[in-house]
Amino acid sequence: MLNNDKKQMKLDRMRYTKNAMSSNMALLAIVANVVYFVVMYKINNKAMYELMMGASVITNLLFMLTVFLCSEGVKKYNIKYAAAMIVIGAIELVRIFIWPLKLHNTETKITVPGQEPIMTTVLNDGQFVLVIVLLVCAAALLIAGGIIGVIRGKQLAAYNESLKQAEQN
Amino acid sequence: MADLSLQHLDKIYDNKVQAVFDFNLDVKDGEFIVLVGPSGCGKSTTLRMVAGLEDITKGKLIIDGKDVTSMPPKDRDIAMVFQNYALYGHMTVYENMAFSLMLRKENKNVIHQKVMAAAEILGLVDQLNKKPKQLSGGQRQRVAMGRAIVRQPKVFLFDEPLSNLDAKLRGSMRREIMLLHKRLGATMIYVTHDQTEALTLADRIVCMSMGYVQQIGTPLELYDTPANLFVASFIGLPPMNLFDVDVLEDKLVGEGFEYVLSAEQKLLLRNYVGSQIVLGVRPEHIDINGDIDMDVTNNENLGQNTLVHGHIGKKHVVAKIRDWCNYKPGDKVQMKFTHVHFFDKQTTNAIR
Repeated sequence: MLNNDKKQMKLDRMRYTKNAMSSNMALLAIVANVVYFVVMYKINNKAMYELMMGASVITNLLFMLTVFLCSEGVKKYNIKYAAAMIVIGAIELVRIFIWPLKLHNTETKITVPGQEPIMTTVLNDGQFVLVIVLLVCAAALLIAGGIIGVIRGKQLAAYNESLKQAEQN
Repeated sequence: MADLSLQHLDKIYDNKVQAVFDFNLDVKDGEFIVLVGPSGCGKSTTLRMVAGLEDITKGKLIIDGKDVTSMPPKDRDIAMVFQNYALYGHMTVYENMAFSLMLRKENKNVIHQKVMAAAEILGLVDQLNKKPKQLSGGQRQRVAMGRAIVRQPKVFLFDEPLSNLDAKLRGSMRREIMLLHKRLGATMIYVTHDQTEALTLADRIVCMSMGYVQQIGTPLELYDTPANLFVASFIGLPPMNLFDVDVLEDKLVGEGFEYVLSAEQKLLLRNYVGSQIVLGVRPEHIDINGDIDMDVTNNENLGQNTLVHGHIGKKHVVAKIRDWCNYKPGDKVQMKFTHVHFFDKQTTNAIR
């Protein structure tokens, strides 16, 4: 009974409070993404300066804009924005297999004056792991925030509907 | 809810200007006290001293038997409602009301219960998701009051809360504050320069001028038996008419009129015979069909009564006649005084 009351009150509270958890998770995902592209763009290699770079910049800008919009949407328990967050989270996981993996597999020659040239990958192992961790973090935050947003949004919608019906009766 | 005792409070600012002189007041639990007076009389300063927003230069402030004179505002358990609402523009009504409790880290469900209860009392349930800019002035002031209510403080302080509202809204908000006080039974101190608010809301009024308390009493006491000329002229709308008069054995002689004293009044003024006093007559205590000539200058018809402006001798006088009058400028009307007040000309105190 007590638990039911608490649950009821939590639902009632949701009518007037924001879904801060999902929203904050989305903002944290943006932070993880910022660190990701700082790591990526810091790499000073000729292989970076190709068409893929431009596409990456646009993708990052689009990502941040869309996630920010989603964070504002989920704040108000909007299920569509929460679903969008889940989709963007999935895309974030897919991103690991595009540019980071390609750069990790691309060999490059480093020449130091007076020494033999050294063959290495554009993205070394340490950088690759860091990039994967950042993208996985961003994806996890987006997916978790999105799932919480969908659950809470549905709960609130059902509660509002029950109130509406009670009012009509 | 709490008793409050303000003992010999003085306020002297750094520039040596003294705003409040020896303020003494005992407020009973659940009492509604109104501090009234013209701008600069020290009423807001006194309220701010109670809130802890101004240091008390001298004297003691006791709340519920505890000396809180040097206690910081947050520890006094007092809530204040300001004239300009002081709401957070980026927060919703709900968040504005819940904010102080959130800072105290109270349980979210408890906060919700308190906010909903306050919103119910103030009729704000439908506005809880709105931002302050989407609300009318009256609603914003209600939010400010709601923010005070949720804290369940010992004392509520109101600093001219209705001054920013239009006349109609002020009337309805006045009634709401009155009902709120009845419902909560809380101790409230209310500052205003509007005597209508003071007379309608207060259990007791503290009338102030130039930093001094002029009179403390019920609204009726202040209206019926003003302690001095200041209170007499400040309380009442339009203000009391004041005449310098010579006291004779059986009558008072003023410029352009004579007033015959009753036996009781003769006894009261026996020590003033041969000297001058001030005669006070409220506009509503002047009636037609008397023997005092008044030269009418203009009429203000207010519906159920008429304010007749004119001169008795050279003195400008206002009479409030309970009728619809159509006097023209230049008309001579015979007036009579139905109730008068006497004041000592030197001390300005009432003669009783």
